Amino acid sequence: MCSIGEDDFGDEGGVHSMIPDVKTSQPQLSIDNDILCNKCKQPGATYKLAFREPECKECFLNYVRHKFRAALGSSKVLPKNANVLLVFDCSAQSLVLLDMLHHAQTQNTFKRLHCNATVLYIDDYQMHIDGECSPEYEKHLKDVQSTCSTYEHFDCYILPLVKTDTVNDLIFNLKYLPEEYSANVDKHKSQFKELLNCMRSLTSKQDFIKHYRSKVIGLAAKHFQCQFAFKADISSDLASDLLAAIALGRGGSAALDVALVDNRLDDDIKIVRPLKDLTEEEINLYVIAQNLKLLEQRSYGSDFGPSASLQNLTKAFVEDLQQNYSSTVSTVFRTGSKIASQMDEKSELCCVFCKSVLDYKDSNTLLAIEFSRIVSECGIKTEDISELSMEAHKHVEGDIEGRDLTKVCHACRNIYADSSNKDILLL
Amino acid sequence: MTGDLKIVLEFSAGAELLFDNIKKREITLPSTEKWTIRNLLKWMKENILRERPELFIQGDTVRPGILVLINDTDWELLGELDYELQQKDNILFISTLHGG
Repeated sequence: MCSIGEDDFGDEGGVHSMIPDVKTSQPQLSIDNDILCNKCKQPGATYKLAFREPECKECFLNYVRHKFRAALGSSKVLPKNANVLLVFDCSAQSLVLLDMLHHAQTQNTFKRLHCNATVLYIDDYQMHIDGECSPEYEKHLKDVQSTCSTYEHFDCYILPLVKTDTVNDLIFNLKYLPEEYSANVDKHKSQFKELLNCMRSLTSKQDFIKHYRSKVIGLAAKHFQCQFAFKADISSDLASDLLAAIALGRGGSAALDVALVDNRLDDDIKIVRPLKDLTEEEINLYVIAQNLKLLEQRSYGSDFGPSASLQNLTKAFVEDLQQNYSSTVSTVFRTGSKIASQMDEKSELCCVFCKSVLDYKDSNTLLAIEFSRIVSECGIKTEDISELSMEAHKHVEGDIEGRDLTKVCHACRNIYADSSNKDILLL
Repeated sequence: MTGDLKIVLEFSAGAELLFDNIKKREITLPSTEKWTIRNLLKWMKENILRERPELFIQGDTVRPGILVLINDTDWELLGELDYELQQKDNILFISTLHGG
């Protein structure tokens, strides 16, 4: 076991433990605009990010936009004139991504980012409300339309979060959204909601939605013939996603959950996270600096509190630590980027649902888990130990309740076990 | 009273949820004392902070993770708690905490 302050360290203890940030007192400055920007040395510094010197609005914008461009540039992931699907989810970060991409495409020729972007809003509003379409929903749709219309450069589409077989029929251009849109998609949306209700725990529901969204993004990208899909995940999202993935038994694919490029989707479509190095603070200041109008955004299950699901708890844990230990997110996130994924990819060895490499083969850990579970279920009945071991082996290999789950990874099997609809992973 | 201090308070990115869900409000502070951000936070806690004060206030300052902009300038550049409020100042609180 690891412990702090023992003889091994040769200290009095506590030296190796984490020490909360010390708040240094800031000298009183005058309120005139005479604070010099540390970058351009001109008066008018207005922003002071953690670990950085004061800077003016222009230099701040250049700095954050550079992070976005550098993420794409240094990895050389995006070929010239590539078709890109930008996934918009109403969050502040996706608004920032939209604005940054718009800015990058309206630069002079030398600096312009050469790609053809299409914006897709995945409409999952139904998951946050009960009952029929409400006036709030109509207002929300109008807000999304008006936000997207300010970026004339892009074609913007809407797709409700529905079963995958209907995806291609339900993509609408936001500019020409039919009057009867909400009525038309209502049936499909309720079907999806019923599907969610088949799962008992919020942990499974959130995990299902996360990977289902990726699946839908892949189908939509194929529909628009885009090889790349931009997602607006930032460092704090990725830090909690990484820890949650490990807690959920997705350690084998956790590296791809936080990497710049996630290439798990079918048809060689890649999810790219160009904002992965941005912080929550930078996103908020960018919104203020660019005067962007924030939209109402809710993530599924966040209203139920930190202890409602593993994901919520992990998020609360990371955020809580981040308050007093401001390197928490970057430490977790950087550690995640150093984990290598298993790359012996052959399509037949991937999970049918999350497309991760199958992780159960020869796993002693899973065998121990299954064995323990079976022994617990046996209760006081005495069974032959070798029979129990055989049963555990069968479970690990994917023969559960007489169904063939050989092409489902460990974490997705947990979703399966939690759901009363046993076809849920094949949708 | 002519000497009363009129300022605008704005809340964004979830901070408004603790203040009756009102994103922007104009307030008038009596001219009986010299108003600094320190006094203002105390006043806010006593008068308009409705829910879970621990999510907004920690000790006599704001909880880490809440950005404060005074007239669009980071409060760290203006002396933080000791900044003396001026007429028509605009104080913006942005939460970077979105809960679980």
